[in-house]
Amino acid sequence: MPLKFEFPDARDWRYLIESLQTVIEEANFIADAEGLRLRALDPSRIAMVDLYMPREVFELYEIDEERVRIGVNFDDLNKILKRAKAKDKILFQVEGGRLRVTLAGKAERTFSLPLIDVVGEELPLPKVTFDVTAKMVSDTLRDALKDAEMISDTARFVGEEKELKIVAKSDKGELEARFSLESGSLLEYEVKQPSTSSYSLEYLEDIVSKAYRISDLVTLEFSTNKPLSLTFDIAGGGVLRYFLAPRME
Amino acid sequence: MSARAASLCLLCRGAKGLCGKPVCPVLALWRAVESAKPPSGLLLEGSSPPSVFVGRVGYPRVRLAPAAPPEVGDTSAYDAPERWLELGLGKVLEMRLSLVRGVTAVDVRRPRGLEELQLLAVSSRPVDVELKFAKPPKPGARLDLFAPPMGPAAPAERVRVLGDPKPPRPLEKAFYDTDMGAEEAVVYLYESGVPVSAIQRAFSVGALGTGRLRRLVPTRWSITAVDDIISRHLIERVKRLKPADRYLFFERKHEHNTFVALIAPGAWSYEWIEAWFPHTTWNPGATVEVEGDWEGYWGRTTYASLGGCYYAARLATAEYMLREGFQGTAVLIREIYEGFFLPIGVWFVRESVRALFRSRPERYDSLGEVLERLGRSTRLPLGVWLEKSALLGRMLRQERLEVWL
Repeated sequence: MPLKFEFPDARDWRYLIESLQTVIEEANFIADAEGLRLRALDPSRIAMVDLYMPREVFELYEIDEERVRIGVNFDDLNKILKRAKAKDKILFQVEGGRLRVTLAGKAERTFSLPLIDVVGEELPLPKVTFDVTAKMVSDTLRDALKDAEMISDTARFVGEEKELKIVAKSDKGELEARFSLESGSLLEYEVKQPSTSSYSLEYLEDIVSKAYRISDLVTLEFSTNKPLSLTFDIAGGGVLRYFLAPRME
Repeated sequence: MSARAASLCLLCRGAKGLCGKPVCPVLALWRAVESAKPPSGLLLEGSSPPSVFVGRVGYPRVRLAPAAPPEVGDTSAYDAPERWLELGLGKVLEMRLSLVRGVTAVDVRRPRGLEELQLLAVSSRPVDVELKFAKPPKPGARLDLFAPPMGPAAPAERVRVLGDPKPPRPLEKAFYDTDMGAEEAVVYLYESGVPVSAIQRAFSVGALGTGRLRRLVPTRWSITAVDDIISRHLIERVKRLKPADRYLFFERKHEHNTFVALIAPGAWSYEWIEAWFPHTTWNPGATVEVEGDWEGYWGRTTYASLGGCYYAARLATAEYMLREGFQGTAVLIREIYEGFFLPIGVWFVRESVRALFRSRPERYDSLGEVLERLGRSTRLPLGVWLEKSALLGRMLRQERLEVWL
């Protein structure tokens, strides 16, 4: 068997796949001795997702080959993951062009789906230096983005010395959400240089409203008119990261 | 009328009673059209194109009305919107207003027992019918935003199918296959080459779907349901094609309407914008009313505010991209000018946009050039589109990540 890995909670995988789905419908996981990776651009090439799951986050991780590519359609995979019950373990096995998914709780159910050929390009990460870095509770960010979405399709991120602001404006009205270390709404905050940049809420709200279930905390990084980075840490050392290209106002 | 009231009309289009009046004042104007001559007497024998109308008032207890003109012969063009653009609106109105409906009452949940009328509705050629009315048909016409115009009507005492309905093979199969879901059947019929209008008729009379779940569907709803089902299916295929490599521009000026389409390189997304000039069907006010709706690559989860036209034009757009073998970002704009004041149905948009995409596109290398061309084509200035269009806004302002890779 070329590849086999087991994860303690099947529902975490459902959340993970739903988070990837906000950017892409199908993609390749790449497995090697270090762990599992996935990197993909959305069809409009506005957003990128970058996932890394080191072997340590798995209860079991066995690989016989140097590199195994797992091309899947997330919709198909998710139909299976939706069948998972609380506390089900999940085991993935790749063999003979198929992905076998076993959900193990009181009973053990094994599903199997064909691997698909996804044309994947090798992508570098965006080269950006970030002037503003903020760490906050992911649910707080989600709320602010939901508020902003009522007003506009674009949110402006303003990193001032003591305060991070998310601003939305349109003929429907105006929203300003403020976060700071002082008020306790930021857990870490670093500003090399005050910066302002705007991003599409269509993408942002979609991403955060799924990925906040992966991690309670999110690290947000940006610079003036440069991409935004959102990092969600996965328990055990994994990382789910997004990059989003700016909108010029 | 205030700008606020005018924009209400545009969103309501006589369907929702947003202005609070018991009868839509815009539609009331067109009671004037109620001049279509009814046949004399209580008996009408004619060839149904076929045409069967399902009402929506009183849902789920609605009116079911087979229709025929008082003549025998090849009337197939009377209910085939695919052929109407070339006939001209005058001729279409004349044909449609000569269709007399024999109205019966049905419960949409009980399509059983209606087999004869269902078979009539799915026939590929005209069928002779005899309508016996309970009282003489009243003169007048029925105009609808979604459905094509209809002529006089009267309660039917008896409907007799005299001829022999002949459904096209695929429709016959879908009709008798009670395991085939309605959505699956619609796609199957479309792929088999059955015209969209015939699929809509079959969908409407409850001739499609899984046995027990078959329902009649008001004509108005079935038109948009079928446009939506087919275009969603086509879009899934379009999304697998390579992106367009240049900017394309299409223009069609026809019957007091301008249709333009701009297709930009990029992932599938679609926008439909309508500008109603003063004193047109859905804009009795004195200023131009502009409304639009759009969807990104992932589609939409709510019903488009502009309704039927949005989905009809989306179908024509997806058909075009699939035929040409690429995907792209499509912005479609329709300007409706003074002089276009009859609600004639969604078919006009579907067929006009199909015709638009049959014309030869102009090709441009940059967004700037194609926008400049757009500005010269429409009566409203470019600035209006840049302000109203979500997709043009995105094209102009949204950066792509590639810049940093």
